[in-house]
Amino acid sequence: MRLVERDIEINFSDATEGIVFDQMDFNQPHYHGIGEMHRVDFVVELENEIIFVEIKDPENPNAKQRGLEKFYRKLEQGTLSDSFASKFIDSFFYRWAEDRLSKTIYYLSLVTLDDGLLPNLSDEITQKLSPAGKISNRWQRHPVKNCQVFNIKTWNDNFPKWPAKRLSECTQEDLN
Amino acid sequence: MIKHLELKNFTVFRDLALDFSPKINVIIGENGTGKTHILKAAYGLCAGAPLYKNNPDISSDDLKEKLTAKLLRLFMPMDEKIGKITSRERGEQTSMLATFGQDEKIEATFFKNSKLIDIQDETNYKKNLSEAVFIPTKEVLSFMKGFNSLYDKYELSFDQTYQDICLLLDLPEVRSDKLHEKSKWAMEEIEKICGGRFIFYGGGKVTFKTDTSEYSANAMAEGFRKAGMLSRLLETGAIQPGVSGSLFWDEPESNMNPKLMKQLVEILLELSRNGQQVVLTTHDYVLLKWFDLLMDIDKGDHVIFHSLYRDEERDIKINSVEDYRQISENAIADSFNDLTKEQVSKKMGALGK
Repeated sequence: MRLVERDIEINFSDATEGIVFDQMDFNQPHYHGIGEMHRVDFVVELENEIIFVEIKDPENPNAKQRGLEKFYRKLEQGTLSDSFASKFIDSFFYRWAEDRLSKTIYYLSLVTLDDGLLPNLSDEITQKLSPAGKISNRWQRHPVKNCQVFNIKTWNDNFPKWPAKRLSECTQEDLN
Repeated sequence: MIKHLELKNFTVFRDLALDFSPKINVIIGENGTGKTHILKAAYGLCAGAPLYKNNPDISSDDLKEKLTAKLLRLFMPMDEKIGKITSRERGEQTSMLATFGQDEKIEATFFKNSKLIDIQDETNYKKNLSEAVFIPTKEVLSFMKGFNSLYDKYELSFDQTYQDICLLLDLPEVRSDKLHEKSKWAMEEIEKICGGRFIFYGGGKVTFKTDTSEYSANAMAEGFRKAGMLSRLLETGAIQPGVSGSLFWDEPESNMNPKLMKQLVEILLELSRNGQQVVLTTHDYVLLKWFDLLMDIDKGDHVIFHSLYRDEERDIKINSVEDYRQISENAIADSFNDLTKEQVSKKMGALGK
């Protein structure tokens, strides 16, 4: 199951289903249609798990200057994690409304940043997702079992079954 | 300024060569890969400058003795034998070679059973008169009082970098109108960071003074005492951009709050822009990354990242690059990746594998 977000492709080889969740083209399958809601890029279903995937690619050679400035401004102000958290929460709500949240959920982000910045960003996003590190005895389920940020290298190191690649660096042979 | 260093069969190194940037050099590597040894070896080979300054007519035999003594006090080998700092497993000749800014050269060699080093090459060595500074890992302001006389009299478990730095800190300050403009700027920045300044009364007595009070230096945070050392070295002219020799700094980050790192890197970059060579070691991602982010090629900045690692045969190798992202063996980044892997393993088990 190959899913593409701009210059990055991930092949979820053992997925039972995978959609571009962020689909705002009416003519494409899985049209989202509610622009007011924040959206993760992909939702991938495995046999017993669901993975929400968000991709941010400041290293994209074709990235637009305005987008880059916005990204680094958010990183500098510490608000980048807010947008990751909002995307998860609204996507979670949307999938609940679709009645598609019966499995264990993971939120994995691929962000092309240095290795050293990833654990901190992972912790910041996790902290902004309920229950924000607290424990409620009334809860029977965890909304998200693991929330973590990777770059292309650490993603591939940790998930050999879901290889990620930068399309602009691929040869024709790689793409076939 | 040191341009080139070669170490053969020396401590952990079988055969290592590195070219230094005239500006900033950042040495990284896991514990035991010899970061501090490189710093001390380079600093030891810079010891000719103070010797020739005090006695321009020093003989070759005296130079051998003085350099041997310097290396012994820097590396503190067992039984105080120079031969103990050869590579342990090999019986070959040890060689230490350094080339300086105007191609002045020194090559010292010795064997496992040597009592003195031999000098193989000292081309123009006596012309290299810029004195280097070595800031060791621990701050010294808290124990400076009386340290020098104790060090001369007793066998203390401090290597000579501690005595050298205490002597430099105790020098009288240079007249303000003789100080480099950037030295003054850096001292002001450090004063802002610390909220006051350290006062040196001589004999190792140090206090910390704010606008309203004066405290014992020991009352201040260790990180501030460390920043205070840099300020004092600028105040005494021991570090004088464009004049003094290399500044070797072993793990500047130890005991410093990561929030101070940005200012520290800004100061070091500014000093390097004005002719101060800096060679430092670090384990700290924050320090490393600030160099990556704050260096400005348009301002003439030049940073070389030297990464030490062990190859398949367990020999220590070095990978020197100008772009932080090109470091192929990055022990600091690897430790972050270990955290990433551990979280995946703990929370996701075999998913995606």
